[in-house]
Amino acid sequence: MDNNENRKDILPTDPNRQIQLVVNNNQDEDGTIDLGNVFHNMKLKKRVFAWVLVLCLTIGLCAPLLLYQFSKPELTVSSVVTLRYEVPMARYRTALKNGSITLAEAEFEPVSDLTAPDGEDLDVNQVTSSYVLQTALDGMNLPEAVNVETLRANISIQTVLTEESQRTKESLAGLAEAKNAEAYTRLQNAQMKYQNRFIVSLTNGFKEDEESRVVTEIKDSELKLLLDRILTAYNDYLVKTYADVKLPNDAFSVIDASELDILDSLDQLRAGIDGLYNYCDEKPDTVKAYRSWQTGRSLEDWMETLETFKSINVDYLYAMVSENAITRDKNALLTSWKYLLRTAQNDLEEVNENIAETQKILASYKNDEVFISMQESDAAKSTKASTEYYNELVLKQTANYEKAAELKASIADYEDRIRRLDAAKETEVSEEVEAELARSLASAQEMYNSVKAHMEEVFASRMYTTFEDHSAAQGKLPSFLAASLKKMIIGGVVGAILACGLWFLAALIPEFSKNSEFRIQNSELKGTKKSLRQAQDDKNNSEFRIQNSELEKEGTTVKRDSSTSVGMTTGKEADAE
Amino acid sequence: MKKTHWFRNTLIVLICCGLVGTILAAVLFSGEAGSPYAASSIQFSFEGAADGKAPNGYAFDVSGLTSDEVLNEALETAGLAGAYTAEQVRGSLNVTGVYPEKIAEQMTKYVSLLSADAGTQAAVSDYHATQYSVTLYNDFDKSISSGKLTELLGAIMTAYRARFTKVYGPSLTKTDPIANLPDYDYAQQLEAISESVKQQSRYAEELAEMAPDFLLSGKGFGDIAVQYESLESDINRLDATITLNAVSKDRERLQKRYETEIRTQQYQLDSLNEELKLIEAQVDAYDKDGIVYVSANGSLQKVGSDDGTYDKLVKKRKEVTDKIAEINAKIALYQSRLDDMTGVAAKAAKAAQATEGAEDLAAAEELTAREKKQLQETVDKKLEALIAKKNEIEADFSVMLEAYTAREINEKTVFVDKVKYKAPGLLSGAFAVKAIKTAGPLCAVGFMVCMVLLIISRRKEEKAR
Repeated sequence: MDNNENRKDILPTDPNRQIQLVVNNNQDEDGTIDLGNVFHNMKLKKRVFAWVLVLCLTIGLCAPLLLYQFSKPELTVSSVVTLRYEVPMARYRTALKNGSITLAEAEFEPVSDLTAPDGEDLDVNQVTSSYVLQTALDGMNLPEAVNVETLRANISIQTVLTEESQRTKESLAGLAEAKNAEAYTRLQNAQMKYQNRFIVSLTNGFKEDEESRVVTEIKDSELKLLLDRILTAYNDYLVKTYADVKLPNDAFSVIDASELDILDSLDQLRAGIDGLYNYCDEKPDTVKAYRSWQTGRSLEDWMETLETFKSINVDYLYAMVSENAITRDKNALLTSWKYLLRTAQNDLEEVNENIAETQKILASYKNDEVFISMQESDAAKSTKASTEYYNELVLKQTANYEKAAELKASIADYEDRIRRLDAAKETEVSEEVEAELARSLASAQEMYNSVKAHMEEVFASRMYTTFEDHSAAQGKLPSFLAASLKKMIIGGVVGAILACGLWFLAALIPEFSKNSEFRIQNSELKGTKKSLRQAQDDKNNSEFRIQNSELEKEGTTVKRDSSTSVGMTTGKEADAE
Repeated sequence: MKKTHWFRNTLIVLICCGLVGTILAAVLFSGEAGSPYAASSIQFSFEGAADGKAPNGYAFDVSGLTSDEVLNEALETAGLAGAYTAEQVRGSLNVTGVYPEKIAEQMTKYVSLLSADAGTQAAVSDYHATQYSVTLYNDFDKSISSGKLTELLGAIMTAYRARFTKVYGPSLTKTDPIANLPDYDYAQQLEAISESVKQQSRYAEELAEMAPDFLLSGKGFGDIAVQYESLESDINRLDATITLNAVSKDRERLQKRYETEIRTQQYQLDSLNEELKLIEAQVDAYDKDGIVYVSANGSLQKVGSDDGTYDKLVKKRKEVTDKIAEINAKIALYQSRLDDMTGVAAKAAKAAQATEGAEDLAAAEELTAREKKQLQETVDKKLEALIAKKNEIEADFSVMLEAYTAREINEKTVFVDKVKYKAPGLLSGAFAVKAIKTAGPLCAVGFMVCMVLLIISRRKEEKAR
């Protein structure tokens, strides 16, 4: 248009024509298209292009829907897994790792980060372990393409930082962006703490291998169920790995009252009851307080019952048997007790040696001394810090004292027994005593069975087997129309613009055609004018030559200026012609 | 061609495309469609259900619905026990929690943000579904009738509700853990009864705390606990009679039992006292670590640490002293009983009485054989009465527990919806969606083709004009 604007002077200035388009930039040829004509043309072509508009709109609206059909995004369902178990307190974890203490010796607290029940770091990737995935798949009727490998590829696990660690990470990341070397170092050394929850996501669309183009999809409900089953299987894995599901040992069925002497049988019975009691006592308070839905009794109740049973039944019988020296073979029993006494004495000697040795070490042990130099002043502070080994020794010594006390009590008991049995007159075992022993053994066996059944119920209960709690798998793809709405609007608008453009062009083409016809006519006219001029020139020349030859004949010569066409017509005149 | 023809033709093409698409959808649907199924839902509205807690206060889930017990019982009820196994049915049983849209949205938001605020986290991870949809698909036997499938699911729901009531309702053991009580001596019998009464009293107190508003005929669990307390005072009175009068079936045996016990406990006490001395020495000798706080850049920094060894030693010392106290109490108890039995206490009382010049005390006198026999008979009667009273309270307690279970777990609090049979047929919503998705593109393409043809035709008309 610039060129056209530059040539305003040559544009026609008809006041009746308000807009004139110059479509020919050729300086030699100029033409204009009347928009009114174009719209008029559009009106004339509306029968065709109204349908083109409809077609383009339809394509614009339908294309996104069709595209969605063929390239639908895969659904991802997610679930928040929250760990729900107890872990050894932080101060015990190092000792546990070293093996200097056992789990039974540690104190526990509810898990607040990603620590495993044994105090080690929890490997959350076990969610994708073959055991977990295969357990989840077993029993589900899914396509073959959905197997452990493809499932693993479609699972993602995201751990969640604590708010404090998140802030630290963000601030350090900000410094790292500023290329701060110190920030890099701090970022590397930063101890990030995670929450006791993580998110597991499963995406639909299973490829048999990476190069495969075939994608197998399962139903949304199946996908959600599969994730739920995976997390349930993960909980089972945690239970199997970490839960103490050891049932009490049956120490009663092995007591052969017919072979053993009465006191030996009673000794084994008492030891069995003590063992069962200790087994119950070692359980956490939550387990002890659990009430059975079958009996309404708790483990604490059973412990009390065991104590009472031992007191009123076993010890009662034992007292009678030992005081009256009721035995099948007094000498054999004495020999047996003497042997047990000697063993206990040997053990005590060993423990006493340990105590003495440990005491020596503790007396001569030198703990660390810590000196702190103060920046503000030259003064230095010092403090003493016990080493881990020293503290271990101290606690070991306490354990030695406990062991020695137990052995001393045991020795005193054996010595007393031997003395009394030796002094007493042997009494033969009566049927009554045998029957009473049999009743005691049967009662103990029944009690053991009850405790075992109680523990089996506890081990199967949700209270004991919940190591993690996961929310229901959630995830939803937008609906067919909602997902494509934006694209449909864009498609519709583009289609409409395209159709209108085509319509406009179609209306414009006739105007072009008209203009080109005009130009052809114009060029033809110019050609005629040229030939006319040529003919006129020729004619003038021939007249001139005739006049000249006449003048020559008369003796006058006229010079002809080639640049000046004498008698040549102007452009306007030519036009007029 | 006239305009009306084109509309008609376009309509025909659209209908044809729609029909083809629907037929195609039907073919595809028949290949993809799942098995027919029976569906129902179960809704929990008891107290604590929304917190994931069962009526008994423990964690709750619906996994019991697919347990062997429930499935076997349901198969038995539906008369299909021989035909199918619990394992077969379990594979076709789908239990899904119904979550509100809001929670699903929060979850999606939480997953996408990963740093949602605490409120969102709590809502997402602590939400527990109270409604579950239960679907039994018929993919274990295609020949099973719709009626049988529906009946089976109904039986499963019923069996589960029964199991739920059993498992999550409180119960009371009907038998004493220590059997053959009459075989024991009086003191032993009383000890066993006392222990049992204490346990049940504790249970009643727990329930009173859990359901303070529960009343049956104007009485609550607290009242049961009070009844047990009253029983305990009865036991104490009877214990006094037995102990002070040395009433026993076999006096000599009981005496030896006490002597043995005192002796054994004494050995334990001696060794524990020795242990205590050593531990005390250890506690005194232990030098606790010093801790220095250094002020740097306006903040205090702690230097030195305490791993709790000293505290552990002190704790150990406390354990030993507690144990010593316990043994001392035991020895004192057995000694007093022994004294009562041997008459030491009576002699002492007599001596005191003589010193003070007071009147003779009947209880302090040594009893004659006839009196002893009479006393034994009295104790026997009292024991019987005690046991009868205990049984009576137990019966009241059981009735109350049943009433409480009925209040907590009933048709309203565990509501099972009607079982419906559904087969994914051509009238189902799933097919409608499939048909729209298949026929829709075909219709769109058909419409486009019609438009192209119409345009070409109009163009030709234009040219011809």
